[in-house]
Amino acid sequence: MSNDIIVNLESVSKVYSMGEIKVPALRGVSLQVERGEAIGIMGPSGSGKTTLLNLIGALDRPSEGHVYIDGIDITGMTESELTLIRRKKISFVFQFFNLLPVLSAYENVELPLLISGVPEAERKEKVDHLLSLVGLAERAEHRPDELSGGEQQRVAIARALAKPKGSTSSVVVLADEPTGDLDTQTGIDVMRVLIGLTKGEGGTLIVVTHDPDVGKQMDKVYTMRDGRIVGST
Amino acid sequence: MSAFPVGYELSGGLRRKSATLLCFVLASAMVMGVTTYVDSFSIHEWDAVIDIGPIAMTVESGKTEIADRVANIEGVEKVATIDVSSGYVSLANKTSYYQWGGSVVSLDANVFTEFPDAFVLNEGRFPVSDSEIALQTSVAKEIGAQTGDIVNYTYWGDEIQFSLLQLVGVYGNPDVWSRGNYYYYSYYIAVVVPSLLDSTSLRVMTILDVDRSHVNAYDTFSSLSFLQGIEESIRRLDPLYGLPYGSSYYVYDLLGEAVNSYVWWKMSARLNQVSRSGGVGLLIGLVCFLAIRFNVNDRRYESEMLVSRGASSSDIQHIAFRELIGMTIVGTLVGMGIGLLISRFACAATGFFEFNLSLIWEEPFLVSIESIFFSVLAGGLIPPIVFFAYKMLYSAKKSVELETSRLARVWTLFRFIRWDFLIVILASLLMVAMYSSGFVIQTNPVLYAISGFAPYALFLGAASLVMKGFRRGANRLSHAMSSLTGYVPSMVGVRRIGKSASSAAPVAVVLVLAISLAWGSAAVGASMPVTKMNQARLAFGAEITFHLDNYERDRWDQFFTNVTLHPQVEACTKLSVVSATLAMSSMDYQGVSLVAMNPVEYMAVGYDYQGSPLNSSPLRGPLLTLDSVLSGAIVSADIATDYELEEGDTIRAFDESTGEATIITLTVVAIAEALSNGLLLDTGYETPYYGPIYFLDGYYWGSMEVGKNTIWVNAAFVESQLNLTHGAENLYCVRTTEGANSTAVGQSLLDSGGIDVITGNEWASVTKEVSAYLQQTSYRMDRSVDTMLAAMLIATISGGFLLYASEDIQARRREVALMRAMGSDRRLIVKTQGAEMIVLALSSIVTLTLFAPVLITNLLVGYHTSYYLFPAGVTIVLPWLQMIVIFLVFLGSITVFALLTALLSSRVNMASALNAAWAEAGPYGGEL
Repeated sequence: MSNDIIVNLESVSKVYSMGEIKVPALRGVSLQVERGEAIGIMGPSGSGKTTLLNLIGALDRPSEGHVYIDGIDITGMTESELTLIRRKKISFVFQFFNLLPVLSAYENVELPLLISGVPEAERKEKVDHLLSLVGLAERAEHRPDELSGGEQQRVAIARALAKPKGSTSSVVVLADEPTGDLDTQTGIDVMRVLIGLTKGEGGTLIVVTHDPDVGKQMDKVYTMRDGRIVGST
Repeated sequence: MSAFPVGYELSGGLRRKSATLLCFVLASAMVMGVTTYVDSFSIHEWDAVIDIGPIAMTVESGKTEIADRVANIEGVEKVATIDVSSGYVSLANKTSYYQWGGSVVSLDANVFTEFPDAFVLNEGRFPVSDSEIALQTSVAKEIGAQTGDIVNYTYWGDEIQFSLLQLVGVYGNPDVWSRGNYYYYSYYIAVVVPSLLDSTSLRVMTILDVDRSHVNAYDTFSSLSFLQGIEESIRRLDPLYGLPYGSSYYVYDLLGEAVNSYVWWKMSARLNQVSRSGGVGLLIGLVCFLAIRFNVNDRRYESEMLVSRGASSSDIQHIAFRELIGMTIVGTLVGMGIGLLISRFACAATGFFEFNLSLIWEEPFLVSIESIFFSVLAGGLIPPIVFFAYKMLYSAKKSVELETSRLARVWTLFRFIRWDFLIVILASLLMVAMYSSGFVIQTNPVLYAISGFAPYALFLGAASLVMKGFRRGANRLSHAMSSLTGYVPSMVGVRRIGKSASSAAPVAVVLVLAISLAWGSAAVGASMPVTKMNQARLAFGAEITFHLDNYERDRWDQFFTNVTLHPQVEACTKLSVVSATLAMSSMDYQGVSLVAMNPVEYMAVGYDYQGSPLNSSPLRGPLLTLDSVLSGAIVSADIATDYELEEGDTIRAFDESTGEATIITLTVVAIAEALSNGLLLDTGYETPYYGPIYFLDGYYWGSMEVGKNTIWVNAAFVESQLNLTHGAENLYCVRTTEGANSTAVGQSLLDSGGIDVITGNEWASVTKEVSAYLQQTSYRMDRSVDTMLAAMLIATISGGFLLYASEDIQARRREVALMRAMGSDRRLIVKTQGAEMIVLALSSIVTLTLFAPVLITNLLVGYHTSYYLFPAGVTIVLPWLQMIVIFLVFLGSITVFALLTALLSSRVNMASALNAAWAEAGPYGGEL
């Protein structure tokens, strides 16, 4: 396996149980993503996109197959080991932003650094840097309910890239419909920031989207249907 | 057509519905519990009141005989006629002539057949000739007549008639006949043959009984209707009935009066208990409000999703309201069932959290129609009222935020004047004014009612300030707590409390009020018996006080010896109380009690006004001085104030009991707040009862001030100037050994000859008084209801915390999932939860420390033990152990919920939680 492969899925399947009924969400998916790449995953509803993202993000475990993040097989890891993987190598951007409402924009961005135990001076430098990159330096003290949808999503993007110094190149940013709750122009702006910032910081971006315009901005786009990858462009 | 399938609202949201249901259940359970308990306990009252003797009604119909027609009325079972006229009786051939007037009757055989218990011979027989008479027992006693004596019978007819008749019998009527209105109409002083009745005042009295199976405590309304129907049928027997003057047949419905009396007693008992439940009611209202808010917020996303799929707002409103009504109906029914159960629990309570479990089965059980009605009303109306109040509040909030209405300006003004701060100030001032005011103001019913609610107003104002404090001070608080809990837990957990939508502050408020109320009930339960004991000690001047009969002076010494030798008597002494007149130059004269004593002996027997034994009270020193300064006097403070007395001043008291004035000159050696004169035989009664049946039962009225207007003097000095044997009321005061039952000691001393040396049956014992007080219906009911309400409080805070926990899980699972997605381990998550709980608990304890003393003091001050005014209105006893147990029980409940919350919220499925759309979708950033 090449050292530039940061995400590697080998014949991954995921089956959900709904009582007696087994519902296959992923059927033997294999996928490789190179470090620094920006890829899109498209497909109709129920095709397995979000499930794929959850498995890559260590939020869920596969029923079969293996998931490698930066060369590490996370499939059989314990919950505490997965916690460390998420802390160091995974970041999320959600459709509904998922900011903590009781914290300011600054504190939301600072939170992952606090969890990682980053010293205060480094935290401040990093947070100020990221907020200025997303154009929200002036809004740092505002709480989520005082920000617009686009601004909230930009805070979420800054938070996704708030990792300890020197580790951003091994970060995989997973974005699930990041523009789904935004108007068209704001969505375009947000995607520009997301891609620019992720690549600028040396991270890898995987975006699940329905939006063809978003797909066009990606280095590569995979299409899914019925739990399988059926094509790529 | 509705956009939803029928029955949609019955599925889903099980947790929400369970939490809401619990809150709704509380309202009807509380009302049902209280009213059913009062109903059940009221059976004792019913049994007493309904025992009116054999005659249910009497009818006066002038000279018209109507017995046959009355007998035909449905519901009437027995009828007899008594001929009644007016007359006077006196004992003939005596120098002291004492005449007694009233109704004189003639009885036919039917009276004895139908109503054998109406006229019961105690002695002799009824008259059979016009030379004989029988007298009512109390009348015979009053005029001093005995069987065989000649009685002078007089009446005013066309001209005055005298007859000398031989007393052939003495009879009694049922006791109840001497009570209430019946007394005036039917006090039959004598029985004679018909020919001796005064024909000019002759009237026919029909006495009757009814089918009493129609009269029951379960349905008093129907019972009264039944009796009123008979009354009306009797009135209609008058052929002129309906004309402007109504019926000339006067019906006196003794049974109806009894039922009415019971109804009013029960009504007042219910009102009293429901008003005492005000604090718990407030809590339940608050919890219902939280439940409604939780429901609305919980359904908001769902509603918006449905709107986006084509549902109309009114459809959604209907669904929400239908669900609310469904839960209200179920909540009311379940609540009524629980209310029935807890009412039995209350019946078994003999004190605050003291039980005799056999009473669960032995006490009567009654669920009246009114109880069901009130419970349905409370359970059925509170949730919809709270729902609409919430809607109005939310709509007002929107309007204010958008600043679209006049309301916005009003609200701005309201905020400007800080309504909560204003309420806190006003309520505090009112309470201070009440506590520091005089007896007249404190016993004013309107002010008393207002002062009862003042702590709750104060509490609501303070609670609002606390909530605002949480909101505005959350950041500072989180910084302050970071060193204790860690930065992340403090930043996320502590600040969560300040979130405007959080139930944290209201739940803290519920907790504080619940603990305060339970503590208050415990404090009242512990303080009242001690208060009554101390008041009795002051009123009686000792543990046991015998009022000696001055005519039995020769036998006193033997009695004193008997008392001294009793193994459970620790000390005893005699007091002589002289009514004297006090005069100073330039002052008006004033009557006072001079209590002559052996100071050293009395020091070992008596008590001060706070209930402390004199030998260990501040009065010990003055008593020793009084022992050495023979002409000394210890003066109560009111006298000292009136006469501007100071220690060392001289006072002169006049005694005129022997017919000529004797002047006693005394020197003030001490001034005391209050002093006992030992003369009282009781400590006053609870609230006087105005019921028609007990109208004349001898309650005490007014505000007698105990411990005032009294001077203690040395008997060795006074007896040299006054005849204390005949010119004073002499008391023999006893202190019993520790743990002795003073009632039993007193009774045994009376049984061994003491009864012959005391006046009548005049003796008082502290334990007898306290025991009677504790056995009072109202006291027992208060303690039982307090116990029941304390149990309700636990259920109420459980409801509050369940809501908080439910809201918490839902609102926080996304936060927990997010933190874990960012790499937080479980420990950090638990610490975050813990930080929140610690702050919640600490802030509750701080609020509790401030509020509980206010509420407890208010409860104690507002609880009257007597209509006498005692210098120490209440002796505060804090049952620490009980209070600690209460605190721990509440704390345990919170801990269980905190653990459950932490457990449930840490078991979050991150994938579903983070992808769930429970985002801040509401137009105003979510919740109200």
